[in-house]
Amino acid sequence: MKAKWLPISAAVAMALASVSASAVDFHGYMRSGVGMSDNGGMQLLNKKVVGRLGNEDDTYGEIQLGQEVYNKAGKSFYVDSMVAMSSNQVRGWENTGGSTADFALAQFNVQGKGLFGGNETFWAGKRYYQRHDIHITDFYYWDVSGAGAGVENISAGPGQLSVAWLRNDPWMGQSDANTFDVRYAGIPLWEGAALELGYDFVKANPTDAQDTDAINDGHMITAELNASLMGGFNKTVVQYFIDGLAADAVGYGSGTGSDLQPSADKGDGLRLINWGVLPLGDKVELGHAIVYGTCSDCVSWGTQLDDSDTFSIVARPMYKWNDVMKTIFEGGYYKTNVTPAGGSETSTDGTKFTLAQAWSAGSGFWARPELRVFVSYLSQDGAFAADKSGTAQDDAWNFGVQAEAWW
Amino acid sequence: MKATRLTIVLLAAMLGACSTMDDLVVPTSQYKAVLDNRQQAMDALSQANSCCANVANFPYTAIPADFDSLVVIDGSSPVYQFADGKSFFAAYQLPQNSGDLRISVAAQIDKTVFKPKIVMLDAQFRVTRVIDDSIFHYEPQKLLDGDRIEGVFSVDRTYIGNPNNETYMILYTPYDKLGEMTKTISAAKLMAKSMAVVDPGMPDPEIPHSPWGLIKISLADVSSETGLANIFKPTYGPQDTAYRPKSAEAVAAAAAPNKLQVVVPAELTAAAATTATVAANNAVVAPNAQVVAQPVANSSATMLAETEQMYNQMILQAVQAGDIGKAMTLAAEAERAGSASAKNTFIQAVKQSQH
Repeated sequence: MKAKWLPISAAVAMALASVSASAVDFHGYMRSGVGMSDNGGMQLLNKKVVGRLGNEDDTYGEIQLGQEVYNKAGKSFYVDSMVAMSSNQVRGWENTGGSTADFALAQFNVQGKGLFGGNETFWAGKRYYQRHDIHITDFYYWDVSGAGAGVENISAGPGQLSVAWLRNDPWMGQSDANTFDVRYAGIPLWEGAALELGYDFVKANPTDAQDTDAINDGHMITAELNASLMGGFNKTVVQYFIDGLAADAVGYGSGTGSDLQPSADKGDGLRLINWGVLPLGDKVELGHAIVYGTCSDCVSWGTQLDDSDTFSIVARPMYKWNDVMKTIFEGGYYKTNVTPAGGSETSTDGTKFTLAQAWSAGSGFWARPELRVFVSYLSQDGAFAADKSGTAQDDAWNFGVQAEAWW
Repeated sequence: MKATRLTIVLLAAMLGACSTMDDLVVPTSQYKAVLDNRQQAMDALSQANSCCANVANFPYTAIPADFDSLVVIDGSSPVYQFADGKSFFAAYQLPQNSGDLRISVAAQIDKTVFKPKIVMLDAQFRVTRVIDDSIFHYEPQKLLDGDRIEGVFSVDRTYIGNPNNETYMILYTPYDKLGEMTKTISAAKLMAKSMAVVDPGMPDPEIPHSPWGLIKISLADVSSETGLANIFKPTYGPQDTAYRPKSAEAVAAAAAPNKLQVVVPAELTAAAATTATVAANNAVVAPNAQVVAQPVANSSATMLAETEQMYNQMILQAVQAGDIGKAMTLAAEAERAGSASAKNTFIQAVKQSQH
C-alpha cells in the first residue's frame, strides 16, 4: 500500500501544476563590475581564446520571463521572452541614444508541447535555440539562434530529433540567408555517455538584384560526445565546415547564417573541441577548454585565405576554502596562423593569467551569484594601449571587482 | 606597474574577509559534521534508546507564531520508535492564540539530507495529519536558497481554544526511507535553464538520506497578512474554561465537543497499537512499537455498489484522458460519499497510465 503513494504523489504534483495556472518563470543573467589596468581602463584580449575571468569590462544583463499559459490533456503552451542589455561600463548613465549601451530583443516565442500527440515541441518566434557554449570562454560553438520555427525533441529511435528553420542574414551583406538545422541528440553509447549529431545548412537567399554575384551557401556538420566523469563531464566536439562557413573553423564561429561568407565558392574547415568541468576531490574543481581549428581555401570576413589554423587552451582550476569562498586561477594561451591568398604566413599569440578571490552562494563551479576580486596579466605583441612615446604595449595588468549572477 | 603592487595588497586584504556571504546563504558549512557523515548518524541511531513511552511524553518546545530558525537534528536530539521506524526527532508545541498559521519546513541538502516527515497532533495528542511526500518535495537551488526538500502547509486557528486544534508538531524521518536517495538537479542544468543554453550534461547528484539533518522551520501568522486589523478572535467555548494544553491523562478524561467532526484517530499509545494496524491507510507498524497511526478516513457512510462502480468508471476515464485533476476530485468526492475503492481505482489507473 505504501509504495502506491509514490505514483500518487507524482500525480498530485502533476495535477497541481496543470490545474493552477503556473507562475511566471523569471530567469536571467548579469555581469557587471569595475576595473582598471596599469594604463587606463581595463585592457582585454579575446575571451574566446584566453578565457573570460578577469577579462571582461562590460555590463551585460538578460531578463527572461516565461509562462505556461495553457495545459490540458497533455497539451501545453509556453510563452517565453528575453531582452538583453549591454553597456561599456564606463560611467553611471549609459543609454542606447548615447551609443555606449545596447538593447536587444533576444527571444519572443511560443512553444506548444504535445500538439502532435507525442512529447515534441512545436515552436515559432525568436529564440535562443539549443545553444552549445563553453562557459569559461563565452564561446558558442553551435548557435544558430534567431527568428525561426521548428519542431524539437521528436522521439525517434534511441534519441530525439529536432528540426528548425531560422533566419540570420550575413553580417557581410550580399544576400539574405536561411539556416536549416537538423539535430539528433541523446544517442546512448555507454553508461553516462551520449552522442549528438547535427547538420546546419546555411542557404543564401539573395534577391534577384543580389543574385548577379556568385552567391554561395555554407554547411556545418557537428558531432558531440558527452561523457559523465567523476561527478563532472567531458565533451569532445568534431565539426566540419564547408564553403561559406569554412572560416568559422578558425574564427570561433557558431555555424549561423550571420557568419556566411557569400563569396566563398569553396573551402573546408575542421574544428576539434574538448571541454569540461571536473571535480577533483572535495576541494578542487577544474574547468577547461581546448580548441583547435583549421581551414583551407577559405574566406574570412571577405579576405581570401590559402589556409589558417588556430589553437587555444584555457584552464580554470579553483580551490574551495568553504561554502562561500574560493580562490580561482584561470590561465589561457592561444596561437593563430594565417596565410592570405598568395601571401606569407603571419602568426599571433597571446596569454592571460588571472588570479581571483571569489565569494559565492555555494562552493560549486556553477554557484552564483559570485563576487570576484581579480588581478589579470595579459600579453600579446603590440595589443595594448600605447605609452607616452606612442608605442603600443606588449602586456597589461588588470585589477577589478566583478559580480556575476544567474537565476 | 605601480598599480600591480597595490592590487596584490588589496587582494591580500580581501582574502581575510571570508565570512561576509555566510550570513546570506543557509550556513550549511557550520553544520558540516551533521550533514557530512551519514554512517556516524546511522550508528548513533542504532545505539540510541527511545526517549519516551509515548508521544504525550515528548519534550515539546513551545514556539512563537514568528518562529524562524534553523533546527539541527543530530546525536543530541531525542529518539523515538515511530510506526515507520526509529528516528531522531524534534517536537514543537505550536502557538495557540494566533491566527491561522502557515508553516514552512525545509530540509537543507548538502552531502546528505534529512528526509522530513511531520505528524500533527491535536491537544489530546491524537493524530490529525501526517505530512509526507505528498507535501514535501525537492526544490532546486535558486540565488541564495540552496537545494532543499521543502513543504508548506497551514494550520487552522478559526476557533482558538478548540481542543481539536492542531497543537503539536513532530518532525522526524521515516526509517524505511533512510536507504533511499533524493535526486537533485545539477547546478549546470539550472545554469543552462537560466542562460538558455543546452544542458552541458553534468550528472544529477543523488543525495543519500541521513538520520541527521539541518532543517529551516518558519511560521507565519497569515491572518496578519490579510489586512485584518483589530479583529476579535473568539475562543471556543466559555471564556473561563478556555482551553490550555493539558497532560494526556487529563485530556483523555474529558470528552471535548468537536467542531469539525473530522477525525476519529487512534490513540498514540502502545495499547492502541493493534487497532491502529488496521487503520484505513495501512500504516506500516513495527511490531511491539508505540504507534503513530495514519488518520482514519472520515466517513462512516456506505455507498451503493452501482454508484461506487459509476465513480470508479469516471475516475478511470478521467485518468485515461490525462485529466488527473478531475480524477482526483472524483476520487475525493467518491470517498467522502463512502466509496471504499475510489482511491485504489485512482492509484491503479495512474499507475497503468504510466506504462
